Amino acid sequence: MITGVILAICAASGFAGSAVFIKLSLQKIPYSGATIMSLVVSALFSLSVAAILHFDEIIQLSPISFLWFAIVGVITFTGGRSLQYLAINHMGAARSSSLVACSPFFAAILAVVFLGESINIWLILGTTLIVSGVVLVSLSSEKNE
Amino acid sequence: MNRIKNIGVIYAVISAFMYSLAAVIGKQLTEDIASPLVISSFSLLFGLLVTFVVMAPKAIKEIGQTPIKNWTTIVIAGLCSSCGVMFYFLSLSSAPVVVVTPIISIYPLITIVLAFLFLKGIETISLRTILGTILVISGIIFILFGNGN
Repeated sequence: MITGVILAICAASGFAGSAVFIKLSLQKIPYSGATIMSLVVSALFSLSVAAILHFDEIIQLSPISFLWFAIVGVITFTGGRSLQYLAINHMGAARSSSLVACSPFFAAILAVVFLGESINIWLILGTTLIVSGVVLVSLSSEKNE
Repeated sequence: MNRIKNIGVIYAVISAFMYSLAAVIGKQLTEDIASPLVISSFSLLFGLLVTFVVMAPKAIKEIGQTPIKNWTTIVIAGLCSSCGVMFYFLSLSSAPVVVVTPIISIYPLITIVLAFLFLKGIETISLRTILGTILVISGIIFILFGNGN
């Protein structure tokens, strides 16, 4: 479990760094070009690492595996990341990151709907705090700049 | 201007939903289909291909007009994101979704620190943004605690 926690913190640092450098990039490169270029760099780097460490596994993958990879890729990058970059462009890296951080809220809902998990008082309190935070950040984006 | 920023809020919230959906599916894939690095790299590849098809005409023109000296920050952004995705799938293979997703959500705090360091003069961080972020993360901790009980 602790390994997963440390890896998640590393992932959070990577996403934070990406949000900030995307904002810097958007000062010089329009949104569509920045999205494609960052994805090209990400894909090339990841594929290189995966090919080096898991080549045997890759050549044995079934076609259905690639279908699942495609589904996750489209949801995460064509959907999630493209919209995130649009949000960064509209309201800044820090504010948009705060809102994109609502994903555990949606994950909890998906867990209830698809995995049959029950709602408890902590979930309701957490949801209330998250919605309050989202409203506060939204108000902030309207009042500032 | 307010309308533009409100659209940004909508984009960000839909983006959050997309990421949570991908987390639930990704968790299952790390258990049933392939190792986290393979999943992250191929999902990135397919994401790139579909995004390219959608954005190609505009993106190619924009990239062509961008001087190479301006590519540095986008390359760093891509590398950071790539590391984030790889660590993300690795963490999903080591811990439950309900643990991983709240922890990853601390990234707004890291973003605020990095924005303070690297985005001076580009964007301001208000007290409301900081308070809102703290509320969001407090809520995430509550959810994490609730799922632990």
